[in-house]
Amino acid sequence: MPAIPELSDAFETNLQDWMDAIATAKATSSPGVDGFTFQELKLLPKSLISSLIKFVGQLDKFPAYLMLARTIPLPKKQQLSAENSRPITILATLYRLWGRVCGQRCIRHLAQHMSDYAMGMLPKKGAHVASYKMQLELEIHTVGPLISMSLA
Amino acid sequence: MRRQKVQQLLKAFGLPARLVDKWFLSIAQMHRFWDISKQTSKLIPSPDGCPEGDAWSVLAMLVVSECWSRLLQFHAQYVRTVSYADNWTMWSKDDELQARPTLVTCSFVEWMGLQISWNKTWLWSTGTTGAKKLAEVLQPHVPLDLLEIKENATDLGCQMTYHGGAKLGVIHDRLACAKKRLDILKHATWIFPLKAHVVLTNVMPVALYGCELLAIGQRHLSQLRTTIADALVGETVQSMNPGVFLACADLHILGPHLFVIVQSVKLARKVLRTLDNDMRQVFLKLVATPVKTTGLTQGPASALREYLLRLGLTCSGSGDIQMTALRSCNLLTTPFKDLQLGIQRAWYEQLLMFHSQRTKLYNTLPIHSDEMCRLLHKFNPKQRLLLLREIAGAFQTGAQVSKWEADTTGECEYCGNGSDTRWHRAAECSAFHDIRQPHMEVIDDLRDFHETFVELPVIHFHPHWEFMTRYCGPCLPLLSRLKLLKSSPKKLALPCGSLPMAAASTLNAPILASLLSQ
Repeated sequence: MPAIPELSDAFETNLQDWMDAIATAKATSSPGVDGFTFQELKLLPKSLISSLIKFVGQLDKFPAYLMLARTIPLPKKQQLSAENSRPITILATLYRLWGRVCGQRCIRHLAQHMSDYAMGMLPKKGAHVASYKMQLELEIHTVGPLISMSLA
Repeated sequence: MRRQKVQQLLKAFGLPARLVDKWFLSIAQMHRFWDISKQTSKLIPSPDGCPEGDAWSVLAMLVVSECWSRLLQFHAQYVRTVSYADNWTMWSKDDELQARPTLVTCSFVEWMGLQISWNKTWLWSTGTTGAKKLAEVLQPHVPLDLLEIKENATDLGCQMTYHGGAKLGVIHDRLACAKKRLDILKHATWIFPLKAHVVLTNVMPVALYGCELLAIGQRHLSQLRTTIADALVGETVQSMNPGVFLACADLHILGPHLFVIVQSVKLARKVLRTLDNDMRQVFLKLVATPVKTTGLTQGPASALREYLLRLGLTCSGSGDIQMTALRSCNLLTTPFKDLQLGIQRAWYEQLLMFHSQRTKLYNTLPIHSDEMCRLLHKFNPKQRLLLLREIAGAFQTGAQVSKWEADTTGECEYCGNGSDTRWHRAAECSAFHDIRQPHMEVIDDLRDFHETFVELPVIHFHPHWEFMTRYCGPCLPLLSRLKLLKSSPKKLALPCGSLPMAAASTLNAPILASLLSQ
């Protein structure tokens, strides 16, 4: 694989990144085991957010008591059963927020180094564009047999 | 998914090693507990996998799919791939058909600790025999009994066509779903602008998602348009023209015919900019090449050609679309706003001819939708709806009713003298003489030049609109524009886009005269 330059980790404690992540978070998202809600985080003054960033930035890893994940099965077809459910995991709010901060920057970095046909979650490469490009390939080229697969 | 492998991959893709380690060490301590109907389970250690709600799981899936793609490129360069999170697709040409890419994929998936859902996997080919040949090649390696061979399928929410003519497939269901929503909206007592907003945000995206991949038939779009208009009005009105109604209802595009064309151009432009030059040329060539059959599409390029043809437009091999006699737009370089304006203008040119049964209106100038919406916005929602109904022909005069109901004579019920037509009510009916008296000058102008205005009381494009916008431009001072208008052979020309609403909408000669005398 060709060498890809490493992204600097300085953004982890960038106040603006945290503010953006808090501002764009859904206020009604379920709180994790730490009990913080995004609604509360949105109300915090900058000075407190700075303290929070400092605390998270100093951690080598999140403590075990924050890494308890509540798993809830969501029914797929109105009726809840083991087969017709999709489990969602609710992690601690602080961990999720840290993940959002890291995720935003890392996705921007990855977008520069991914191939044209790696789609999804990347800027300007949503599902709609992915389908469009795929159908365009089929229209332009007389492509041969294809296997389409979905992972689980 | 094996976390340690993901950790290595994330680092290999240049993500900060310290943060990747922090994620890895944190997630290693994760314990899950089930929460079902307010009952919780014991803590369960979670030594593997990336939880779905975690932003790092997105990064993990991206690097894994990219790694798979690069691995296949290394082992089988003839294979091409597309990956969207955990939906992966690979293909090759008939003569390069081998089991190796599938075997490499299976090994990689196993190495990563993933599993392939074979029941969600399918084979397809653009030819008639390809998929069967592939099935033979793969037989010893995969559970073929679980694999379907498909000619079209719903993938990532869009209807994909692999072989044969495009089928609406999931779009049928979406249209049905949109109609259900519109039925609910029709019976809602919300004000008109709110209903229009709901249509824009909750109906159009549902009904017409993926409409750029294949051309949706005009019958489906017409039915949807009628349902939208009925929902906005709150009842089914047979005599109302939904095309005219939606053209004047909102500044946003509410008509599905126009919506799909604009969306198709927008997405084509967006994707073309990301393609390499060769692919771009092939795409444009497909759009530019005429075909024997209209209505049949194989993909986005032919769908775009079909949509443009519905407006009487064609795109050249270099992406130029001749919007009017004097104006040409380029699919790639012209600002989208200008492209949209050109398309809208072309649509309104067609509207009264091809989407109306009112023969009197066939040769009238196109409706100036934007000016009309701005004018109607000056009224409150209730009045606006009544005006829109009048414009779209939702109210029938006695003469119209007499054509389908034998008991009605068609005589004016107000004066009892003369046929009850729109013109009679506006200019002749003696019952309204006093109301009409202060406006006789306008009535005379209507009689001389604009009799159809009574049939369709809307703002039209100026007959010389193209010349005026091209050579006079929006920057030309108002007075000069009015003087130009004065020198026009039709002294009181119907309003154009570059005229102020005061002069344009009221048809009031004294206002024009006073402006000119300043």
